[in-house]
Amino acid sequence: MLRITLLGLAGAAAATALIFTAQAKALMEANISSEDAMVAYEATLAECRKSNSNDITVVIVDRAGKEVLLARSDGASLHNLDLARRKAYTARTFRSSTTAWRDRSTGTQGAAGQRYLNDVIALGGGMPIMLGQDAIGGVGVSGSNGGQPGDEACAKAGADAAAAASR
Amino acid sequence: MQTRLNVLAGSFAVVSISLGAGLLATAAPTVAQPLVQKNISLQQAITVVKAAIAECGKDGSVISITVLDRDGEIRFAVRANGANPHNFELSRRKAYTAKTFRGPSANFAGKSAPDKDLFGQRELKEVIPLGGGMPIMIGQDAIGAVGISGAKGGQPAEEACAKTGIAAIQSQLS
Repeated sequence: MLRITLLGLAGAAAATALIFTAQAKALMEANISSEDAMVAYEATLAECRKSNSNDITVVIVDRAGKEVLLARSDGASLHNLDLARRKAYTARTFRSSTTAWRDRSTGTQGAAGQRYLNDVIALGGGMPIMLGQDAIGGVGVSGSNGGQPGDEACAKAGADAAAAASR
Repeated sequence: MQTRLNVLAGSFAVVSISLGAGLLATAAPTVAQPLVQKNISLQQAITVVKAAIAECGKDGSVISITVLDRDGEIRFAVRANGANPHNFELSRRKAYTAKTFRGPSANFAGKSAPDKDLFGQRELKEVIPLGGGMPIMIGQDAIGAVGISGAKGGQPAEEACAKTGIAAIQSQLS
């Protein structure tokens, strides 16, 4: 009887150990590094240069939506840096291009209320940095010659380069 | 007759304009020109950042760094991997302090110590009495500033890295 109890206790302890072993480890999350942010920035610039957009403002945020890199162009308008930041944030938090989010949050749709969130912006030019289904950051661009589609093309090049560098 | 009157009237108008223009020219000869000020370019800011990161990296330091323009606005900034939440803010505020007081932020810290008459300057928003910020000067004109936080050697090391960063564009500062 004693033996059975001891066995039972040992079994319970083993089961408990299994559960707590899993919980004792820190949560591990992939994130964009400052080096990969620089890679993303340079890829963004390179893409924009193809359309002769040499004066763009770029912000890269990490998985927490916080800025990792900010670059304000020489001829930037006063609003460009804030737009770039908010586009990067929007892309990161909704894990999609800001153009797609813009289009699914228009006035008549159920998601329209999302536009009341702080810091989001319903304008194209932001792309998430994705590792599979995991958004580890976002790239936002403002001030390209091509408007929102132009901004998005540059941001996509940056986000793709960052994802490739992060793997 | 009608034509001649018009011509006369026209001459009178021309004389009036000439007089007016003469007065304006005497009163404010420089008003016609916009104010033109030097400022740090994005490309220069990136050069400063890369040089400062390389210098601080020699002892394995991973820094957060901000370059501000002459208005105290961000031109280029990078947050270090593993930075504490306050580091990026400090880098910006050190740069702002250096820019607005046109000297090392360490100097501001000394001049505004609690026993000094200038202690009240610490009440200004965005300034920070910590070393690690340096102005980017052309003569007496501060065209921008750089601020660093997170170096292993603390404030003196951060200031040294900031100086190295600025030295990388020194030949362009004229």
